[in-house]
Amino acid sequence: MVKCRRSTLMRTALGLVLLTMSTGPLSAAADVLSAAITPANTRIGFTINGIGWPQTKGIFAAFRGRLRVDFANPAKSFVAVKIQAASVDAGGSSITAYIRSSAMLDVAQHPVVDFRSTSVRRTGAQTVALTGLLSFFGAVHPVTFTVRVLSKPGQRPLAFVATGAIQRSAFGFNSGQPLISDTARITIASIGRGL
Amino acid sequence: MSDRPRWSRAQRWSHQLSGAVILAALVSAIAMNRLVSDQGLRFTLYQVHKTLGIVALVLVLWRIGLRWRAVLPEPISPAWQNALSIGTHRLLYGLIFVIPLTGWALISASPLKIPTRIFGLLPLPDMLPTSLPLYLALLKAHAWLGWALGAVLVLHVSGALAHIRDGTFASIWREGKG
Ligand code: HEM
Repeated sequence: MVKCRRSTLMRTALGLVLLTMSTGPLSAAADVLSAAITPANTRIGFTINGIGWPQTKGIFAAFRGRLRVDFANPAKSFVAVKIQAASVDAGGSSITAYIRSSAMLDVAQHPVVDFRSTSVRRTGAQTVALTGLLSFFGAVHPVTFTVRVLSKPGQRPLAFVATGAIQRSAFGFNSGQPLISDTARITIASIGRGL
Repeated sequence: MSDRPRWSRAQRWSHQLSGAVILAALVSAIAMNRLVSDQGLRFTLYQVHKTLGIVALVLVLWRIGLRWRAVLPEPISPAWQNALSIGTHRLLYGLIFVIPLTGWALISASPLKIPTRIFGLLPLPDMLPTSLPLYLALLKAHAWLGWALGAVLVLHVSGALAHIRDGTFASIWREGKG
């Protein structure tokens, strides 16, 4: 195992080099991936259960972020994403308008949802636990995502699915309770472009 | 026979219109709650159902007003069928008045706070404060009364069809002498 104490600069440089490289066998030391997170390679979805209405599903269509994966030293990986709340889409104009409105997400008051990781911990051969701070609805709370890497080690593009859940009440986002459940599940799936 | 009192034009039109609106309200209720799985369409159908229901309420108020001053057609025979038809009509007026009110009440009490706009425009104010138990009770009552209305409508239409020959059906269906 090549354990090295590289400088941040060097790591970033390596990431950039990697980004410009095409697929191919990678040495452990050079195994750092740095990529932009955009709707071209990522899907951000949510599901919420309810009483008297089946599970509500939706996506956020507009967001931008950065991902840095250090395969040799997962703890040094990092992710940050900024989501435009108004880009929520629940598959129909009337339901989407309701979710955007002040009765729900109130996107006029809370236009941005922001997540930045604070720690990454390997939990299995293909899984990591990624914890970060989610600022949403005017509050900031830690959220942990379980990230499952779907692509084989060394395989490009990297493909992963991150799942996590928030308690809406923790953020003061209580609309519709208890008909709409307190728990909202978030699924982030990434593959392709730049990964 | 020719001097027999008839339902007025306004009464016939409002009757046919409210029949269509009530059927559409029932169909939309079944569709939105039981048939449609697409989330967006389902939500839209709820909005359509609320508009149809409020239109049904306005129509029944208008019809009760018209009926108040109307000269009623002759009774049908036999007498027990006449009594049954009077009972059915009273029940229909009652249900068509109460059901939209329970619908309006339930959306008012609902914690969901989904804004209701009649025809997508006119906002419908809440008539009750938010209350989960009240909402659940009203929901149950609204749905049960809705199904009861469906059953009474079957009786109503059967009675009308059974009285095609004596001109009862025609008296509401079209203009002319009875
Ligand atoms: C003639 C008028 C109406 C009729 C016949 C009617 C009938 C029904 C029926 C049968 C159901 C139950 C559907 C099911 O369980 O599958 C229902 C549900 C419902 N109705 Fe109406 N309705 C009327 C008017 C209204 C009005 C005026 C409103 C509100 C403004 C309304 C709001 C609702 C709502 C929100 C539900 C769904 C409740 C749920 O979530 O399960 N209805 N209606």
